[in-house]
Amino acid sequence: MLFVKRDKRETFERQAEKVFPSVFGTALRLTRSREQAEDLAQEATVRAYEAFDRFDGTNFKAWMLRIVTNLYINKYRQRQRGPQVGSLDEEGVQEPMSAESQVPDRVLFDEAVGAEVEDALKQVPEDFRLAVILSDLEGLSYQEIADATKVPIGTVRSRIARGRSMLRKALESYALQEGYLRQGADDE
Amino acid sequence: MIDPLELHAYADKELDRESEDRVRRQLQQDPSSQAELDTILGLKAVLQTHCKTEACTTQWSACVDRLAELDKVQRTESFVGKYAWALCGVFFMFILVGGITSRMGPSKGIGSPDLARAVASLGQPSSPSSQQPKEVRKWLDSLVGKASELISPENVIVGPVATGQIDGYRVAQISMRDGKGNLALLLMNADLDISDMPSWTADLKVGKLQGINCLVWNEGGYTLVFAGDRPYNELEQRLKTVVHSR
Repeated sequence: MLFVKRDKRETFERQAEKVFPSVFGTALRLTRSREQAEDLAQEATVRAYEAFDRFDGTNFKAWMLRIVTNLYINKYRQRQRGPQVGSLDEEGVQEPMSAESQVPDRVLFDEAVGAEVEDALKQVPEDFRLAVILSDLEGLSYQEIADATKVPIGTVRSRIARGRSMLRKALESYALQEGYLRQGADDE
Repeated sequence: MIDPLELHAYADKELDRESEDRVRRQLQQDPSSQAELDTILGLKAVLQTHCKTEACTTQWSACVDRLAELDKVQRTESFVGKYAWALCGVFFMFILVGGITSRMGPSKGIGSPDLARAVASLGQPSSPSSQQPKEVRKWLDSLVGKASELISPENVIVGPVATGQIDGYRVAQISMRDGKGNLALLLMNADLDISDMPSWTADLKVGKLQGINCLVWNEGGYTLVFAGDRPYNELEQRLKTVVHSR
């Protein structure tokens, strides 16, 4: 029994160590607080270990991120003071990003630096940010995101599209603040 | 213009083969949709390039420590859960063995203060109606049972007998009298340990009962005390005539 337990922990640790940067990164981007992210990542890892017997063996990373997401939604979300999503129409018609923008993508994307992208991401409302993080940073499929966030797949599609649109706008205002956008636009 | 949601799904490779082919064909004829797709792909690339993975070695170590701790707690809980009956059994056995040992083991030691306590526990005395040895023996038998067989009522005058109980065993004091004064035989229905009392002979010990000399010995499961206000050697002489075995 002791050996079975030890085996289980070793197997879990081997797999969890590989995906832990994603777990911690997602926790950090969700909570926007290092201290809370550490708690969230650790608690999610412990819960995953406790439930490891029930893991279906398909996609460990998606399973871990689902636990982090659920834990965040159920436990940590109330503590957050960030923008709420209730007023946003998730299922509304999505306008094209490029049509709304007066700024060429090349300038915007080439000039952006890491900190600005992270800051811009922080400004995206939570549910949209979560969908973008899970899709673009962690590479989860729409179905996996739907499972993790417990919403229909259509809502996931809509959140990703709107989240990206909001992110682009946030990047644009950063660029305007920093001044390089005008210069880049002029160059264009 | 292609539906933006469909374009996002196309960029994420989330469309089925049929829809993917259709969008690809439409993109070739629609520059604005192609621009939108480029924006989506550009944004995805920006995110993947600039949002670096955080270094989290310390956090991972903390997780490993927590898992080890969790395992330890679970092991302990599982052990206690699984073997609770055995632990209870051992505890019960311990109590049982302790109880048996205290009952079966060497009897409790006794000293002069215990003798005084035994006397103090006695109730109201009753006197024999006759001094006929047969009557006296019968009467003694009714009061002290089998212990009466130890006594020879022919050689002394038997006086009042008082009975009582102390520490779970029965006590009886038979008052006697001879030419030299009063005597008393204290019978305790327990084989008490008298080894700590000073020896007089091999099996007789000496002590004091309410300031009076006494001889103490064990016999037939009883502890007997023969007391009288006289020297020990005289007491021993008188004892030989009062108790058969002496």
